[in-house]
Amino acid sequence: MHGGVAARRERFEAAYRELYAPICGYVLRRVREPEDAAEAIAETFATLWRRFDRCPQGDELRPWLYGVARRVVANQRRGARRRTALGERLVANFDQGAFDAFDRPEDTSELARAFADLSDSDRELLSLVAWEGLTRDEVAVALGTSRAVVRLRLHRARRRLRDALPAPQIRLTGGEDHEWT
Amino acid sequence: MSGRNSTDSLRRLSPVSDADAAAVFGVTGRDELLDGLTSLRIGSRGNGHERRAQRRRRRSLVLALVVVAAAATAAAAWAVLHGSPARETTSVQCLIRGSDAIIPSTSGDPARDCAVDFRREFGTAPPPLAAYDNGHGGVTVIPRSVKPQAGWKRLVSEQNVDLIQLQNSLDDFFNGLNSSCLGSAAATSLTQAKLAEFGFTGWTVTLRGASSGGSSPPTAAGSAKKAPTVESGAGTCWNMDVVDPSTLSVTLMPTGVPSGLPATSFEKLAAKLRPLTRACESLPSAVASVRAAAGSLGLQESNRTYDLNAVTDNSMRCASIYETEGGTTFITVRGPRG
Repeated sequence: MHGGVAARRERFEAAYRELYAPICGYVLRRVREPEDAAEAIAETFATLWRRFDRCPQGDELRPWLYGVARRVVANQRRGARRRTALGERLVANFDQGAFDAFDRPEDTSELARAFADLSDSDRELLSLVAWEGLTRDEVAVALGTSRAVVRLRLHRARRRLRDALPAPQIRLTGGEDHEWT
Repeated sequence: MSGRNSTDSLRRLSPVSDADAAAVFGVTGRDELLDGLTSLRIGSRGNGHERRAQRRRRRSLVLALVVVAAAATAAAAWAVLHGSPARETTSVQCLIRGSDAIIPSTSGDPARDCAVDFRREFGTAPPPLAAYDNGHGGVTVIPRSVKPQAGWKRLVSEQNVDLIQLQNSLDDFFNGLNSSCLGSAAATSLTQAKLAEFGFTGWTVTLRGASSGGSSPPTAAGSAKKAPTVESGAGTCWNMDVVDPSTLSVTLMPTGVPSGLPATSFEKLAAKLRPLTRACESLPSAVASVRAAAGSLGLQESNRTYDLNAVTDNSMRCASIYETEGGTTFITVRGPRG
């Protein structure tokens, strides 16, 4: 048991160090307030810590953790905000300069506007592909749904994005779900 | 835009890269969050306020449980010591005013150890305390004004300080100040030397899960008094120990290969304290040195990033320093007053 716990901790630390930046990226791409972002990051990893023995390992861990982060961020948006000691650990080290470096003016391009006008679920789906770089199978893990459902939803989301654009900015030709040319 | 990979187009809308996002809370933030996460009891849940309150009430228990898990210290020994005299343990359960904590023994006086922990946790002096053999192989400390449970017997002598020092010393090498990846031979040799150093004879050292099934011959009185040579072993590290006086055995368990991860606060502090163990200081001087070393890393007793226990032992010529990880970092300094 003891060796198991120590080994668990070691595996957790390895996973944490690998996934810390991707989860920070996921959260800060969706949450503007540093305090809320810190809470979401902390809560996501707290879930990983608690469920580490029962969560997917290997290649499926990263998309699974994105799924956790997605639910945490969604809860925040529903108003379930709180401040925890774990979040405070992050916020205490907040670097305004690093934050300002990417806190640039809002993108006003047509694609950005069309993307912003999509439903939350469409935007999240396309973001998981474009921003998090997930494959269709990994999106299925993140959303806790089947590959077939992901394929259908991606198809529809892409079509809605294309329809929202005034000119043929994106041409849908099939193939890999996130590879349109 | 026609003809471009649309994924690339959408990617350009991404407000921030992973690397830039991680920089927002810095390396320190990342490491401090990791420290906090690994201090959480596995499976704990609850809302923020509840969790904070619970953590405050039960923090020492949580820490001790992690110590049990991570370093196989006191409480682990306690857990396996059914039928063994309660004083032959290296942990104490403190049940004081609704606070339930299992802490590593430091002084040998359970009531004193609980009083120190209570004062550190709540900032006030505890009521007068009494220590009992709880009949389950352990020591429980409660206020004198509280009626003990049926079957509890007042502890008439202190805990075995030699056993506490043996546990501290082994933890120190296996998961503490001087820890490294020990191969089975080095770990066995180290344990035998430590048993001899603290006067434990006739004990065996067992390797749990060793393919060759190994168990060392019992130690002989007066054997191997000199400090062991510690070697880094390739492959599996044997970094877990359970000291069990009821069977006169120390069981070593494998912990896998070293991760090679960057240093945690605990490891950084160990690196700072290691040179101090080679000096010959009095207790006050060693305590001051420990505080200075911890302070240089931003660790403070006041916010419980480490717990420091100072134990006067005028039979010693120089102070010894033990560091054990377990949620927070436990440091025990034992040595002569002046």
